Amino acid sequence: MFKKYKNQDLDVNFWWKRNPKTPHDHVKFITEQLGKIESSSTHDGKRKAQEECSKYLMATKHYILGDTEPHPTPEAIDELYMAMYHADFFYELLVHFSDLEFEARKEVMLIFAMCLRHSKDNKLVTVDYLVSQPKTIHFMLATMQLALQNRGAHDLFLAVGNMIIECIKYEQLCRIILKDPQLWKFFDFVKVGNFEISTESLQILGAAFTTHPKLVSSEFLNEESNMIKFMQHINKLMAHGSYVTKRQSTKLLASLIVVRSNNQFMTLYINSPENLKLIMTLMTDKSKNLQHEAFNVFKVMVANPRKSKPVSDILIKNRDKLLKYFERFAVDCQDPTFLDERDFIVQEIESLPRIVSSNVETIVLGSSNSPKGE
Amino acid sequence: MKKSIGGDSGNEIPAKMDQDIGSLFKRSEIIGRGKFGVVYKGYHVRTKQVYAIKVLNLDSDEDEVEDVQREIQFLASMKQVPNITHYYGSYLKDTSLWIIIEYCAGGSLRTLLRPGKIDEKYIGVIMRELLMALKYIHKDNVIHRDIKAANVLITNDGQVKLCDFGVAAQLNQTRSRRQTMAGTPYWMAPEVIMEGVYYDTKVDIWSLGITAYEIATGNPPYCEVEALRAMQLITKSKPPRLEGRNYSALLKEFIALCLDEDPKARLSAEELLKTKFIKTHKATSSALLKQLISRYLLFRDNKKKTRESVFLADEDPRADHKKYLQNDQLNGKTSEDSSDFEVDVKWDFDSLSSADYIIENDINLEEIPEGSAYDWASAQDQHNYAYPDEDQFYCYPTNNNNGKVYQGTTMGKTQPGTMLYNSTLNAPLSHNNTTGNFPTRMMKSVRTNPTVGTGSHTNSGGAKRSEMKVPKKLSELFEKVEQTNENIPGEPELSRINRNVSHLHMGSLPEDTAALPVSELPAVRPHVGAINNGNFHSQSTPVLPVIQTKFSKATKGPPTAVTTAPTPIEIEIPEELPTTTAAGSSNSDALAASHTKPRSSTVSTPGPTSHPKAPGISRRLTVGTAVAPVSSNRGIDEKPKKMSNSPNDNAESNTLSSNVANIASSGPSNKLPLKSPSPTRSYTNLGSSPTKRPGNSPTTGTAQPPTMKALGNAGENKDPLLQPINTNLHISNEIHNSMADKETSRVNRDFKRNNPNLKLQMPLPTSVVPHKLLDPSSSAVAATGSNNGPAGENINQFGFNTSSASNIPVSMTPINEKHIDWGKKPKRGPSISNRKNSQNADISISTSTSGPTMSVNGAQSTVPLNTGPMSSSSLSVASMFPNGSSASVTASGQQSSQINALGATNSTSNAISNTNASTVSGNLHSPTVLQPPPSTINMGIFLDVDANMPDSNSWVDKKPLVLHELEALLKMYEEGLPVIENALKKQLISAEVAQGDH
Repeated sequence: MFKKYKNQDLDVNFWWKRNPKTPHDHVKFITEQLGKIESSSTHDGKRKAQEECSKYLMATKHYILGDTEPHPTPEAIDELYMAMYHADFFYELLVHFSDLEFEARKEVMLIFAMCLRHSKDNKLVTVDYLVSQPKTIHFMLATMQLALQNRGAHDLFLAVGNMIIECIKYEQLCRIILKDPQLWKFFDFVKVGNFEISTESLQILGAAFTTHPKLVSSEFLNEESNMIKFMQHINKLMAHGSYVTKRQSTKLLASLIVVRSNNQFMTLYINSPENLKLIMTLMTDKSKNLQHEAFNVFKVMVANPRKSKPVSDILIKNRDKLLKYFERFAVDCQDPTFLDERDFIVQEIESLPRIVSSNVETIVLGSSNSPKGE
Repeated sequence: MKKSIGGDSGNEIPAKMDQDIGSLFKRSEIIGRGKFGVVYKGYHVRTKQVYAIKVLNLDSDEDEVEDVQREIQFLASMKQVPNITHYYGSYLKDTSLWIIIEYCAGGSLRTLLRPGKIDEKYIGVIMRELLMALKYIHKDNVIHRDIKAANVLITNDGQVKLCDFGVAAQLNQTRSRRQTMAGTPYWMAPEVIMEGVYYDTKVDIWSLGITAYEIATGNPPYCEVEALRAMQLITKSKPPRLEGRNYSALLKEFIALCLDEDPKARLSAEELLKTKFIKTHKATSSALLKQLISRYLLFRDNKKKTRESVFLADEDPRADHKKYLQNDQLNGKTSEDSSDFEVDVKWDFDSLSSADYIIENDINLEEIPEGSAYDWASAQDQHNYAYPDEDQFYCYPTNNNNGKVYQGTTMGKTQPGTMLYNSTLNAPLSHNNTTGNFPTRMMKSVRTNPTVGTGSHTNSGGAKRSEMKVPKKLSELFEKVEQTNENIPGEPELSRINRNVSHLHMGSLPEDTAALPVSELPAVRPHVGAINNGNFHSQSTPVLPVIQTKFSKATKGPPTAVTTAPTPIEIEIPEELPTTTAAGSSNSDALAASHTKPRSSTVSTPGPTSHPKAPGISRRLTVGTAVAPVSSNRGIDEKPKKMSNSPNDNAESNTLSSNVANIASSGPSNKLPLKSPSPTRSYTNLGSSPTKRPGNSPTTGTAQPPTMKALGNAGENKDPLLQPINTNLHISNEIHNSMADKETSRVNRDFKRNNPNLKLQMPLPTSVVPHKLLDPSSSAVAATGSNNGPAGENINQFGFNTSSASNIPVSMTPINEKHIDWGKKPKRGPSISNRKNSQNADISISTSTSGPTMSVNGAQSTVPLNTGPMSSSSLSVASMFPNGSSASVTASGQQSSQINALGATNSTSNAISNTNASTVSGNLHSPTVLQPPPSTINMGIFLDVDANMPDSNSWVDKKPLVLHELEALLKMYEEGLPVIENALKKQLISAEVAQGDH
């Protein structure tokens, strides 16, 4: 099979006489083939069209990279980009994305990434075009849900996920994605069992909320509805969900809370006793990394000089347990900031008033370490 | 098994929501082990299809999920590429991720190389296949960055598969070159190692060259150097070349083309396929590699057989392996069970009820337990750092040391601490510079060697409240929120890890100091194996006992009254206490200090070496001015009390008490029955000459000078000539020894003969414990008896020392008298001093009761001898004669005054003195004529018979007559003396006048 594949490479060169000469030819030939894929009914017809399409896409890639003889001049490359914009090249590719071959999809991702990076006179041309035509991005977000519905298409999901991540790098595109209600669907994608999909969604969410923090704090989290919806979604992820989901979401939350610009969200989050309960339960999770992530949130709750009464009540009631807990928490961690924070937290907790109840039962820490076999 | 690539839909695994992965796939034995998890051979429960399952433990503390999903993306994105392991899917089992990939039965190329070197045709085929794979992934601008034989898998039918994209990097337009250091150090291209240099797909070509080198020689270049060093060598020194006549020039040239230090000049994958080396092997199909698999299987089988045969010798690698496995399990378990101390902390979230009331508290900080000591393993021998865990062809790692050293694995990116392994390294995409700073600062701090310090720092005194600085990030969070929009610059430069960061960081196990019974580290002497390599006899240094000092606070025993100012007892531990074993008595074989006999043998005469009084058991007693009564446990204070009651002691008590102390210091040892003979005795029989052995049999005594044997071992042809010398030497040794014995006996006899009246003094045995049944008086008597003899002699030598109070028997005077008499006859001068001495002796006779004060001023009285006015009798003439005579005259005068003290016959002495005076005054008118002597001696006094009764034989007592005659004669004599004196005086005067008038 491999040998056969190599030979094809060689004879692809010799029996297609029409090579794309001008940049227009690249775009024109590819859209033609896309059309033929959709229109061809036979399996072979479709396969021939797919092969043609990936062949032209590879040629376009080499053309853009500029390692064909002779070197393409910068003007030729500009013409190509203008041709892509006029032909809504990416939208067409996205629409037939599921019909493209695996290799072809990789070429499309590569061409898409290069187009996004193309800047002329310090202006990102492709980004501006996509901002002016947001249907491409909306379609990308929508195809994600479509890819999940029919089974087995998570290659498609992953490929489009990559393209979405490429887009999130640019602020204007990230704004569009944040305002798109499809975004909340991603919290559900995270709960999907398939690891790749859930990690991909988490990655998209993380990228969406952390890449441009000012954008998030100024345009997304300033509306209370978004805050509450986000809290509910992320709490659900933190409370339920797989280990990876819990960890990534707690991390996401921790990184969001410490951003000074969304301290509304922070004050809202740290004053609700449910969150404290959730965080305290997370701190008792058996994996240390999770405890650590949870601590990053908990420390903000404790550090809060104006605690709400129920929060301080919970803290007061668990004062001794907390002290005992922090006695052994992450003792081996070296870095000084963490140590400072932990000391500070312990101090805060110690500064809490103590209750002496009449019938409290004591917990004796047994120091015997006996290995429990698996 | 044949796997069809046709329907990728055909082999999709349906993803059911949360169906347990354990039930879908069954794991069997481990086929590989990476740093980040384990690769199992598994099969799909339903289809019984065999897959390779890579289990990643996501919870381990230095891994990021992003890396894992990036690897999955690479694997996913290269499903079509030939010669790459096919990716089927990944599942999460709560914290561990299962990645399903295609199973290659042949295993990795590395293992196939184990039986030994392979022929060049195999190398050509492998290189061709790998180059095909690289050609495709480089077309996608993907850099594998970790090409090495370990990552090249061979399937059953000999196909070559490239696996492990853990550190693969994607090149895209903006970043056509990477600059993060990724890959295994030995296989890294120089530009990867050099920071600040961007690299592209050519680094895979370099790695391929190194892999080719590795396949040809079995190891990558610089394998005997550890990774960091190797990285430097790769950058600095010239690129490695395959050398050796046994390799064809084509292969050497191929590798040379791959390992070109200039990435640009380095050939790409397509160009390399066109080299003569690949061309010569173009025709051979990949099925050839099956021979490698069969060779390896063959190799493994007969290794198993040999394993059974030398069963006892080899079980420890298995132990290694098992220990390795269960150590890993230990490690794994440590990682696991370090986390599963169940924090069964039930937080109770109920609201505060009214029954609770709140009290304010102040902080009391208890002492922080400090870190434990690390034990440095002693030595490590040279092995290649590239594949540390792989047992080499021909030798096993000899000494296992706890704590694995990871050298040859891929380098990865971590957060809390960086560990420099040759594992895959990948760079983080972007972070805020706070964390960036955080790890570098963290790294610098980590680089500091953890100092081991057993130091007791006591911070006594009142606790002061140290102001704890609030971490400023937390504090910033709560300051008044003002909205600022800061622009974070695009790509921060992550300052690369600068050179030679060496940090051997053993997975630190949080531990608490438990009283570890300082067990005497069994000074395990590596018992010498059956084959002693001849030139190895090492001396083991004696084990230093760990002195356990137990600070027992007030908790043990009843709290006593607060003691007054403690009297500081200064204890000086003597160096040469006889060593006693503490815990668990094991008879310490006497340190057999073997005397190496110098070449010519001399016999030392056994002298009765008296036991040297133990020097240096010196207890400095600091006498405190005010000794407050101390009431504490009696264990320590018992000693000073006994010593205080004697205000002063002299040298004799010194020896006695030292013996007691000697006994006392070994007091606690005395409670045990003295099992071994007391070591002091053993000291004295040092060097007892070997008793004469009957007959002259050749012996192998320790006395053999070692040089002779070594001479034998030096690899020169044995010269039978030298053998007889030794026996001869030995025989002559015997002869000399026996002669020496006779010599010593004669010496002793000589000793006794030479000074007959010196008693050979036997030393008192010191270490015998005084038994109750022995009565102390007898030994004391013996001791004083033998003691006093020489002591008496001592006193005499010193003369009268003023401080001694003992009285000397009167019978002593004649010896002094005799002594002075003989000395005086020949020489005249010194008579004066002796005279004074004898005078003192005379004076000493008289007093027996009075205090020493009399004797002291007694001496003064003789000094103003010449000026004493009290003797009226002497004529003071400033004469030319020695003043001895005048002294004697006044001495007699002074004697008269001293006789006053006698008081026995006062009248007679006064008569003498006044007769003295009278003679002096009287001699002026004494009759000048001297009476003629009695002309006839009347015979009456001589005959005992009465003259006029001749014949009666009666004996008449003539005594009164004789006495009367004697009386008359004495009177005549006494009167005659002054007469002659006057005559002489006249002569003297006339002689003087005669002389004077000239």
